[in-house]
Parts: sequence; structure tokens; C-alpha cells
Amino acid sequence: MTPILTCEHLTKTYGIFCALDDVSFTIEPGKIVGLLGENGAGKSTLLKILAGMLTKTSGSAQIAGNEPGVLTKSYVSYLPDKSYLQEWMKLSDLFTLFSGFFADFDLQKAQGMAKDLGLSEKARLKAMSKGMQEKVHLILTMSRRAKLYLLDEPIGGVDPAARDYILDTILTNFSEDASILISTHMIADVEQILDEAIFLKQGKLILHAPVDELRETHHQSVDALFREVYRS
Amino acid sequence: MKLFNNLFAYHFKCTARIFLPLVFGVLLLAGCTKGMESLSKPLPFLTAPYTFLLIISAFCTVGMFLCIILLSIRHFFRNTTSAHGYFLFMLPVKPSMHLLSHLFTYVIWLIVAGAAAVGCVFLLIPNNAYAQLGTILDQVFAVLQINENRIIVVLIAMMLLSAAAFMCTVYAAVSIGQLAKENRALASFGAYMGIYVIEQLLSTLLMIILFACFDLDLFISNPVLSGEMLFGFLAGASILYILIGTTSFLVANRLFSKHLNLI
Repeated sequence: MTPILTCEHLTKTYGIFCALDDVSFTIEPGKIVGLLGENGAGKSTLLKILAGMLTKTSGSAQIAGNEPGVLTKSYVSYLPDKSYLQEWMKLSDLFTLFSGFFADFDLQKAQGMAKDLGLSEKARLKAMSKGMQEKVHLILTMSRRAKLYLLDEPIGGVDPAARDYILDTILTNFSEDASILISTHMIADVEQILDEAIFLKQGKLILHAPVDELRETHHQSVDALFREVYRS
Repeated sequence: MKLFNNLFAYHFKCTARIFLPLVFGVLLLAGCTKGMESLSKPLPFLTAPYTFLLIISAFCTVGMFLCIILLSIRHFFRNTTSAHGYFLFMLPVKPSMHLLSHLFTYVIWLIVAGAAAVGCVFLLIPNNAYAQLGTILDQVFAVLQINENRIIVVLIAMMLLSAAAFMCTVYAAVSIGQLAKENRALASFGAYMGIYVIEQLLSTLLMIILFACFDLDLFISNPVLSGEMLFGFLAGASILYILIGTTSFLVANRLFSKHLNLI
């Protein structure tokens, strides 16, 4: 099977600081991959390079055979860790906006998710709480029929009930040939949905394996393994 | 083209929230000043408030342009260096489209502000000054021996061209400033100053070359400005603005395409 994502010797430096150091891995279609690591490990940097927000220093990244750029943006759905929308806009405005820009945006799906999460389409972003705004960002990202979803801390600011709904939405709403690369600190919450895990430490990839294999080999959950790896 | 239209509509909507009330506010103020002028004739004690309002209106008309320029720069800066940039740069659109849509929006607002400014001038000029103004303009056109319609069109085109060239220079400066990890506003300002100095040096160099290559003594020895000389100056300046604008646009496009740095 052709990988949806291939990174080879991917490196990003800021002056003398190396944010990503010679990272290589591949992701097959249909996989949900957890991108795990401590603060400053290079998770967001990696996602930004793949989303085309940052340029790499060296190495290569290929998404469905193409370098991150204008073409890949049409089939990569990216959720940054920051609020990037104009706060005066209504949810309905945002749906119209995304429908106009992304051919793969499913308006009905977005409206359904908004209804399930109790968000009014007439509400402006500035009138919403931080958690509600995060839900809006997630709805917009997951309502696209993309080939690759890049989610940077998608459940960090939402309540546990919404967290379950979001994880369930992620599981049920992406097609078999799509993949998700999800960066999070809440490993215990996402562990149940992960197929593979990638551990990053100080910009280096230190582990990439299927979650089931990790559990069998180390006789502990990924969450426990994470604590062990990053404690040392 | 559809994506460009959507981008333009997005930027227009974002800026219209501030610019429309601003333009209408300035027009309203000019209208009130006109009303005050009419009232001050039968009621002389209103002459002083009218004069004060006239000065305020004139300042606001100029300030409207300044606001549009500064807020357009702020809009572009936020869209390329802050979190808002994540939205624009996640769109499947080339950076040149982003630059063009910002530029197009800015030029449209300048035209709207220009039209509003003309309206304000007509409202603010005292009734008895219309005839005098017309006479003065007729005399200027007669001395220069130029067609008034032609010069008005050329001057408007020149102003838009210079404004667009200036904004392209700002885009180039921001594209350089965004490469910095911190203090990007400062870095962009520094880059703009650098570009401005280079522009001035190149302009001076171009003038020296032109004077050396062609017989331009006419411009120096002839103390009376003629229409042809004026059009010659304007044509030269237009070429310079096109060169500056195009180069700056290409620099900005290159940096946003190959070295985007949204931290």
C-alpha cells in the first residue's frame, strides 16, 4: 500500500536550535497515529511543516506523493493549536467560508456536528467560550473529506463529555483511505483510538510502533510507557 | 478565479467592518459642516463653531486615507505573521493570490476613500468659493496647455500606482520580517527602511543615467513648467513605480512561497 505520508531525514533548525532532527517515518492510509512528546519535542513544528506553514531546513516530506504546498492543502485538513478565525464571524459564516474554499467540505456534516455539540450557527465566535471555540475549529477540520488530518492538541481545552464526542467523531467520520496524525498530551484519552504511536524527544524520533505491539512488548499502556520514557 | 473571488470577498468583508463606518462618518461630518455653514449666515454666532468644524472635517478627510493605509498594513501583517495566517495559508491558494487579493482590496478602498474625499471637498468648500476654484483651475490648465480631463485621469492613475507600489514594498518588508523568530513588527519596519533606502539610491542612479544619456537640460534651464514636461515627469515616475512595485511583489511572493515561517 502506498503511504499517505512519508518523512525522510526531516530537519528544522532555528539558528543553532534544532526543533526537528533527522526525523523519518511513514504512515499508511487508514491509520490513526498519535504524535506524542513533551513540550518542545517538535510535535507542532512537524505538523506545521506538513501543513505547509513552515519550511523545512532539510530532508523531505511527501503527502500522497507531493511535497507540502498548494496541492496538498486541498487534501490535508489541519487543526492548529491556536485560534485562527476572525472572532466577529458567525458559525454560519465560517461554514460558508469553508464551503467556498474547500471542495471537500461537507456542509451537512458540519451542521450536524454543530447541532450535536450544542453550538448555534447564529452565534459569533467572540460570544463563545474557549472550549466552544475549540469545538468550532474541530468541526471545521473534521468536516472535510480529507486524505490526511493533522490535529494539533485537538482536545486540550474541551470538557470530558465533549472530548468523548470528539474522539467518537474522529473514529466514525474519517474514511478508510484517510489517516490522522494527532498530537496530544492527553494520551490516556486518545490511546483507545490510536493505531500507532510516534514518540518525539528533543526533536528526535525515538519510537514509532503500532500501539498493540507497544502494549505487548512493554506490558503496559502507552500512557504508562510515555511517563516512563519521558521521566528518564 | 473562484478562489480569488472568495479571497477578495473575505478580505473585503474583514476590512469593510472598519472602513465603511469610517468613510460614512467622514462624509457625515462634512455634511454637518455644510449644514453649519448654511446656518452661520443668518446666525453669525455660529461662525466660530463652523470654522472649527471645517478644520476638523478637513483633518478627518486626510485622516481617513491615513487610517485606510495603516489598517490595511495591519490587516496584511496579522494575516501573514499571526494566528490568522494559519487560516489563509491552509487554503489551497498560491501566495501570489494572497498578495493580489490584499492589494486589490486595498486599492478598492483607496478608490472608495478618494470618491468620499472628493465628496467632502465639494461639501467643505464654501458656496462662494466654487466659482473662484473653477477660475483658478482653468488658469492652471491654460498655463500648462493641457487637457484637464487627460491630466485628471493621469493624476488619479499615478496616485493609485504609487499607492500600490508603496503597499507592495510593505508586503516585501513583511515577507522579510516574518523570517525573524521574534519582534517581527520591528524586523518588518527595519526591512522597510532598508528597501526604502535602496529605492532612493536606485531612483537617484536612474536620474543620473537619464540626465547623462539624454539632453535633459531643457528641464533644468526652462523655468516654466509645460504640460508636456509634466506628462514626461509623470511617465518617468510611473515607470519607476511599476518597477518598484513589481520587484517588491516578486520578492514577497518568493519569500511567502519558499520561506513561510508561521511560528
